[in-house]
Amino acid sequence: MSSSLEKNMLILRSSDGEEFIVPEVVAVMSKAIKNMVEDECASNTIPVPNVDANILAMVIEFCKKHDESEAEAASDLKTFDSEFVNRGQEALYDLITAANFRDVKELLDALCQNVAEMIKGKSVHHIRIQFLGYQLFEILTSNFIWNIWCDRDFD
Amino acid sequence: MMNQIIWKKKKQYTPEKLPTQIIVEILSRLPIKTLFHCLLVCKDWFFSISDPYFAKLHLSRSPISLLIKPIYRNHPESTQLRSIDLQCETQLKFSSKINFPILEHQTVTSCNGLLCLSCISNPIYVCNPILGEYITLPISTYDGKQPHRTITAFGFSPLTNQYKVIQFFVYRVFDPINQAKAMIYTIGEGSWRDIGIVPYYLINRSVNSFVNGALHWLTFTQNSPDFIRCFDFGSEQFRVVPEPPECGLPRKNFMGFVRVGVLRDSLSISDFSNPFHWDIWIMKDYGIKESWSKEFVIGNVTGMRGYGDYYETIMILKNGEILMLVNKGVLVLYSPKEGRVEKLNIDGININPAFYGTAHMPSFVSLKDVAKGESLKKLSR
Repeated sequence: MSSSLEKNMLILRSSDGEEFIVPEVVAVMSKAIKNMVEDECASNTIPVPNVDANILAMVIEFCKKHDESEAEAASDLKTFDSEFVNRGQEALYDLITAANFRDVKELLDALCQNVAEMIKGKSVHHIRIQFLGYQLFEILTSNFIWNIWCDRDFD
Repeated sequence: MMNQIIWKKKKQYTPEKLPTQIIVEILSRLPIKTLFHCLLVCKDWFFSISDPYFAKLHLSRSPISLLIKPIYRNHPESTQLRSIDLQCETQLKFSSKINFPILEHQTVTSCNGLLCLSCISNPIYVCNPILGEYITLPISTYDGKQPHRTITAFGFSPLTNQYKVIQFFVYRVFDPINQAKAMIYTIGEGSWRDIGIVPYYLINRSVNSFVNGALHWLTFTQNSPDFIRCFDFGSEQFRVVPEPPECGLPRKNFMGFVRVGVLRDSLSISDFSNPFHWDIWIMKDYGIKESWSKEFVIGNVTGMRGYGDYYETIMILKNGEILMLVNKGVLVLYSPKEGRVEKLNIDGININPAFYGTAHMPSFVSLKDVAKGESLKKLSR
């Protein structure tokens, strides 16, 4: 470990080369990183491929808050979570991918809950446009029979 | 115009990258009503939702709903069941011949989203009202004699993943010594099994008392020290669960005001016997007497009704409020922070002044997986 680095600190390097110095306790909230540290296959710098600096910063912010506020009231953390995940769809999906890939359970839970809140109460049409908009062409053609079947009333 | 917007979105978002496992994670957090819409969104989602793994995951995350059945038989809605999601106050209506085969004066019990409809003259049905699937159990007669009373209970054994129906037959002869005989039907096995004379039998049903694979009830027999009894659906054994420290034998006279239930996934005892304060106990580690803790003491409540009303605690909501059922007909919310009780108005409930309530979690648990080998019938929609 390099001398300039305090004890129990790790460097995470994002896909675009930016480096973040993070306490080990925070970094190991990611199960993937935890496994690497435990297996001692991690050098002082841990590469985090597939996650760019912007998203990595957000993930670290989330993990830091959760690490610090262990003793804090659960309601405070909940407010933080709901504000944290309240982002545009693009960032949300990037965050989900990052959280899934790095296996950060708390973050993944909060994000999935947020997407679920977005879907809650929406119509079939709306969900398709919002979440599967890119599939419109496919829905119009190969899913034609599917759509007829779907016209059945479920309520 | 529409196409342009869609294609623009394609460049912006990359949701197709989300793995199925994440989609399942997201969908499992949705209420049943939205899931019906999600079923129709695309084939991938349809197959994800139809998967038995999804049913299990969704069940573990869904909050308790209250299933209500009107008591009056001649009421136009008496053949209808309503399932009310108390967290977001939405309701589902289940009707005869659409969601389940027939509903007359049967007793309805629920477990993991499956309903068991039973009464003395009709056969017993087990159905999932969401999927419209049902099976008919063969008629059980013990010794060929007409019993004085039959009581049916429905439950689930988490270890073996089996659903079971137990039927108690109470004969008049046995009454003085409080004995009954019982038979068990394991869904998927196709026949009733005789387990002979049982030490205890179910007397009073509470709204929700199924926890840890066992159904719990209270006994009011004066001299018996056994207070909380249960039937374990896994081991098929009857057991006694230790009671909270202040609810033992000396207080048996007041037992009419004590209820057993499930709060925060733990066994709970609600003691309404004291006119000045009510105690709610929760058993934090199941089966360990020392883990009983008095979680709530409700006293001096504004809006509280008179002494002698029949209260039952149903669940603790996310915001900490306690939901209670009063006199089997009124839902009230007790807020521990503000110390007051408020009546909960939900559309359509006031029409039926009295109802039976039972805890129910609408689910996609399919009888196709649960009742392999049984002749499954599907109601056409």
